[in-house]
Amino acid sequence: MQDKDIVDLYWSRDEDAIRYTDEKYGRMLLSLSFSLTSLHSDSEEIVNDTYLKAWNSMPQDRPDMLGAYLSKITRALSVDRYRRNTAEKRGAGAVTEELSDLIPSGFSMDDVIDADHLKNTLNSFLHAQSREKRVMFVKRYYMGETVERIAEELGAGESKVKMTLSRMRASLYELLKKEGLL
Amino acid sequence: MTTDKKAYADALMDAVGRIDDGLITEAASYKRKTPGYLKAAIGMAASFLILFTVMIPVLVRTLPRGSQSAAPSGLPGVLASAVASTVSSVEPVGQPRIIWQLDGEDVYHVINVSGSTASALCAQSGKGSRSEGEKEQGFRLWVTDGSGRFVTPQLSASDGNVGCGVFDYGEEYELSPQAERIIKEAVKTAKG
Repeated sequence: MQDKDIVDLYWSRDEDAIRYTDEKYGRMLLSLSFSLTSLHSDSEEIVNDTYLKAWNSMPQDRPDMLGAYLSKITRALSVDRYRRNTAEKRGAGAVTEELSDLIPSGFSMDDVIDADHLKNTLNSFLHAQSREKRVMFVKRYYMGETVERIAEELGAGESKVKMTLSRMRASLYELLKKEGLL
Repeated sequence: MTTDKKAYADALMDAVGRIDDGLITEAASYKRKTPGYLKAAIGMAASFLILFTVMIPVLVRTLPRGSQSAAPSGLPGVLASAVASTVSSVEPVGQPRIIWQLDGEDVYHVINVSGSTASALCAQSGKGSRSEGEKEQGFRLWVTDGSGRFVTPQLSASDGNVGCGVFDYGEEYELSPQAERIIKEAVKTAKG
């Protein structure tokens, strides 16, 4: 079923919307949540919460890309859950830790971060990259996939993925500095 | 992690969670490239087919007796037939050098060059046309000016691409005509 048809079901308050959503995106959302929380029980609960949130947020929203729309809800719920649960260096913790590498050790956050500016800078940064690099970055830092899995999915060596991500973090650091965000 | 650093990392993580929908869809639907070994096998099979069905009969008829086929043209051909030292690892200090690795090889080929040649080649980093990572050029190439850093002219000249050492990467830029000229000249005069 096309995304548009599923969204129409949400808009007409037809509960089949959840069933079709689960059929089409359930596995992807579960995988995304598990990558970030590392707990199956949490992941299943989060995916159900995602459907509930989607049900409540439509019909106000009419997403063009339903998969991306749902994944943002799942990701936000998973990161929140992770932050509440644990400080282990797995899942979202490992990804956050890796991103924090680009922040200098003596860093002091004097100003409140402009979240929109940060998001727009990230979008510009990613759009300026080659497709392969963009995909690596999003798979690692948005989807929380492991380097091993990304390498397998992209048919590349693990060393190449690690080095590409390392170089991208270095470039992002320069851009954030230039934009006054770091 | 300090509190400020953690707060910023969390903010960054949240910002990543708000990137454009198109970027997420692109990553989720990205199709795996044909593995290198499969490409190589298909390429080899196709080459043999062409060789046996077309090229050999044509060559037998057209080449005069005793003549030799021409050396491969283009930079990959020049690099493949160059007189160079073959090593399994490369140190960046000491003599300025050009280092390359042909597709499918584990070893590196090295020639010594002058400091001015190395500097001129380093300056060509990312100056050619961009090939979006999908267009493999048959080789990866590095330059070291002897000061301890590596430069890869097939990548953009960002901080991350300088000084990282010899590593696997996908070619982003075709070499500029100027870089090709410098390399061909250096290979011609090298003694290995």
